[in-house]
Amino acid sequence: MIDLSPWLWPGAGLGLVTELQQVWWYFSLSLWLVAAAFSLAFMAKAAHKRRYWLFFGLSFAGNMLLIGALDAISFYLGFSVMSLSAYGLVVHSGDKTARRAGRLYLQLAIIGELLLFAALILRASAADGQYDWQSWQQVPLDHLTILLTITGLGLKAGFWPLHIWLPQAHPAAPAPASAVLSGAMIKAGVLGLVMFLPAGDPLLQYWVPYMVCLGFFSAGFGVLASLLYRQPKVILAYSSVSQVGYILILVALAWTANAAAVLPVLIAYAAHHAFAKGALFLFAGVNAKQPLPGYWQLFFWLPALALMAIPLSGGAAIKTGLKSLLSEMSVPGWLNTDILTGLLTLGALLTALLFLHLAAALRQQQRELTSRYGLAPAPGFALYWQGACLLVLLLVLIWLPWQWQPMQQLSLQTLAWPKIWALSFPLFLAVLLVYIARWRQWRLPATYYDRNSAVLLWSLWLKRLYQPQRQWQAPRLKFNWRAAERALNRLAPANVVSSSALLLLIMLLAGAAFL
Amino acid sequence: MSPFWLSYLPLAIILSSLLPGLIIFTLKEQQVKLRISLNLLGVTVKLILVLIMWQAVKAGDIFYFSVPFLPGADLVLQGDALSLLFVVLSSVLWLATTIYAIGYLENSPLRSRFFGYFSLCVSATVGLALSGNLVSFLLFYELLTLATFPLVVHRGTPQSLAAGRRYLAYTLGGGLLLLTGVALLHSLVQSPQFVPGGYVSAVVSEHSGLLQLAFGLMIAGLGVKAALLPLHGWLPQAMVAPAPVSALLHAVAVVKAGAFGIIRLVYDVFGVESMQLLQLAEPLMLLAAATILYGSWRALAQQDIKRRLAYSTISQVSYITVGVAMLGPLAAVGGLVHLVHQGVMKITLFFCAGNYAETLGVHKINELNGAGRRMPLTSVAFTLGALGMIGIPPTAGFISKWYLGLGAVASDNQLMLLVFVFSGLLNAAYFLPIIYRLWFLPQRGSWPDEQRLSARLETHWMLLLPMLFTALLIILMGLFASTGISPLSWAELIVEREFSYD
Repeated sequence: MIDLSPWLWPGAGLGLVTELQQVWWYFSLSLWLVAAAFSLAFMAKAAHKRRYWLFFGLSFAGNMLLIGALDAISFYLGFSVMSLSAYGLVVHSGDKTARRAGRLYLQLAIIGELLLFAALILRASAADGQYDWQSWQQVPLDHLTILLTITGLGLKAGFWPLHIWLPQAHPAAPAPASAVLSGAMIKAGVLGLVMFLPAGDPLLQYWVPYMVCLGFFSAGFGVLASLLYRQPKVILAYSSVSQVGYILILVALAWTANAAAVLPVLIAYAAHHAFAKGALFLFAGVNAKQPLPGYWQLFFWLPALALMAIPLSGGAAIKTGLKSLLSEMSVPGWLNTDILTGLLTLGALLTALLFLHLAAALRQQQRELTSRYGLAPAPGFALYWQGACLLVLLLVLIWLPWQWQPMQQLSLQTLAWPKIWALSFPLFLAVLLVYIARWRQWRLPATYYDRNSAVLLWSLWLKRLYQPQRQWQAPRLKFNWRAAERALNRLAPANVVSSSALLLLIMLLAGAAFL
Repeated sequence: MSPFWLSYLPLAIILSSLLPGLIIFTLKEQQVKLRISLNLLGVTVKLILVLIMWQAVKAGDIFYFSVPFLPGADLVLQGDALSLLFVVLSSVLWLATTIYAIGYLENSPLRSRFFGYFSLCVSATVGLALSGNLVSFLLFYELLTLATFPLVVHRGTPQSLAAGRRYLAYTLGGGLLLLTGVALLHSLVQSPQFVPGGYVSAVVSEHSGLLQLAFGLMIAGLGVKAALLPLHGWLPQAMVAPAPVSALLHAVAVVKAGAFGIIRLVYDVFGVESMQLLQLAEPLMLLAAATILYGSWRALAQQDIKRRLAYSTISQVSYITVGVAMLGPLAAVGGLVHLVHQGVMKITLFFCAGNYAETLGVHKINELNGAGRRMPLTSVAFTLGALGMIGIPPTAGFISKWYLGLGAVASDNQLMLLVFVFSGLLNAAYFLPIIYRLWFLPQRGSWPDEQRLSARLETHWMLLLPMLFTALLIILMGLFASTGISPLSWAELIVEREFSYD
């Protein structure tokens, strides 16, 4: 580690000292680099390119800094630089949706940042002036700090009910920016939740079952909400809400004394989701722009199937790990581990439904593009370049579960037949369900689809609140002494100096007489 | 250091701006070069002297100079760590503001008068920082009022005359209250030198009511300049003054004089223990907290750039008072360091506002659309200053907020942490829309009154250089906060000396 405390702010230190930080740093870095390479081609003809790269670079730097931070201030610095610069990415296109989404994003980012600030202050005070989060591991928590940390960082991580900016901001940003927003930046909130709340803290244990339930709810909510939208990037954003729900379950499990067993699965989940979701967002960006050759479908189905956890994929390994962790979890009386593992199976079914829905939405987009521009033209260099970037992510995705130590163990466990069956039957069920739905034409009334979120109204209301046109004015007391002063001046003789001296003398004499 | 230096250096520091100022009054309007050289000579000499003093105080020397003034109260100048904090701040920012003012007032009338009073104003500020007892403090405090009035009304328009009248009414009234308070305190305990831990503890049990009254009167007197809640009315009006004056008024001279006086009063006159015994800290803290929120709230609705900045000053200066009134060492570090940080950030913002007004003729916030393209450097500086005010790292504002927050928790005032968080939210709410307009919105029509002040740069280099210097300071003070020359380490030194008097 690098100790910068004699130079920079007090307690400053940088370094990748734990496995958590190392893996997090490397997968975030790879995703950012791929997204940057992708942007070279994707943003080549966009307006305001300099601004895009400035904000891209700043949020990149912030994200890397916060992962390598060993003290609270460095983390907070990286976090704020990342959050605020990402605003520039969200509003990049400059149209009305982007500005509205950007406003909501910034409002919540600022609120989250200040909540986090309060949490870090409370934590640093409790730790008696120690700022590095590793010495915070020994300091007991209190409920207020836990609440502030979870809301402050949760606003970035984006699980229900703090997800409200995600479905607005992700579709508005350019595709590579959404990829890093969803793949790397929301993970920063997750990382903070693991780093700042020490595992095994007695008070924190009260929160674990509730957070697990919140995670499950978020996982289910994300999918069900996504089914009501037909824009691919909105669906992907809701998929992130759902996936972060699972990550939140793992985070909550990592807060228990069992942290050593949970952390590898959590890291694996975060890395896997980052690559898969990054690839999907990049694909959605290309898909919305031009008609694609048929083999490009591969670029969609590989990451989608990995997230759906078909056997042999990384998703399968992680879901298996999650399931075994959940069944070992010690739960209070009102919860039941059997129900939880059952919910996990239901979750797999729902995730599969989401991606089948997404596939339909993407196909629909292609159909519209072909009807407008005709069939796919011969792919140019830009398309090959973007495809190469996607391919890199996919190769990592294939390589990850078999070559990377923490996931290898889990992957090998999924090779038994019962496991394979347990993993695949939700998928079959989902396919069946989709076909039945199409056949019977199960649909909600049209007004339920693609609704504008009520959150935007809330954001507008907030804006009106802090940009008031008129405000209460303090009543202004008006005394006009000027006339009286003039009259008094006219009374004074022309020789003001001598008369003032006389007045002063009289006052002094009077004063002397009194004393 | 020789005894000669130890006694005359404080005097020399005051004279280094007073003498050039007095000479400037006698100069003719056309003697521009002579005037500029005198000004810059004064600044350079002052900076060198301050540097010498800074080194000596750091090593532990105490400067002391006194002449008989009133019976029982000499005119005392002393250089300790706390006074040096303010002296360094005002000398460095005086340098920046002088250069800025030379550029800003180029070819405008009555410059001799302006620069004369400008120097007097800085002399009074430095004298106030160096004064060693309450009576000398009061003297310089009143001199400051008189020296700033001609600057506020410099333009001579009906509007600025009205603002000047209001300013005078407020500050003279405040001065009167302060005088009464000082006299009352003098009758109880005389006016000895400022000492860490205060000098009223001997009579606390005997005259607690009178001491509370004296404290209240003095806070009311100082609160006028520090713009505490019911006494802040003059500040938003005084923004009609030329930009360099507003910058100096808001960052260094007037509001800081009030805040500095409060620091002296709390730590070196009453002392932490007496403050606790007399139960004076809590009301002061709550008043300042109310001012923080009120100022931020009023800033939201202001559509004039300088007016919004003025309300922001009201709010930000009270951070210092809150930090002092919490009576804990960490909070004191936060308050003291904010004295410097707020000064540098606010002066940058006012320089920027002046640049927009001078170059583009822009005074209203909704005319700023797209100014980031026309004036990128000014807009970058404005952005840095605004982010600092919100408290986003790595700016200086974050460091002061961090320490204030730590101090609030350490002294068991969790409520103040809430105030800081909420005020941060409000700061973001009134600064970020401006930044958004600067960078993200396209320009709307032509600028109200555009002037080409430079062939290559976006505006006159003398308007640009001081602003870039202070903007750089914002980042440096935030990034390199632990180094030995940072305001933070100096504030820690002061607190170490103030809190270890037993």
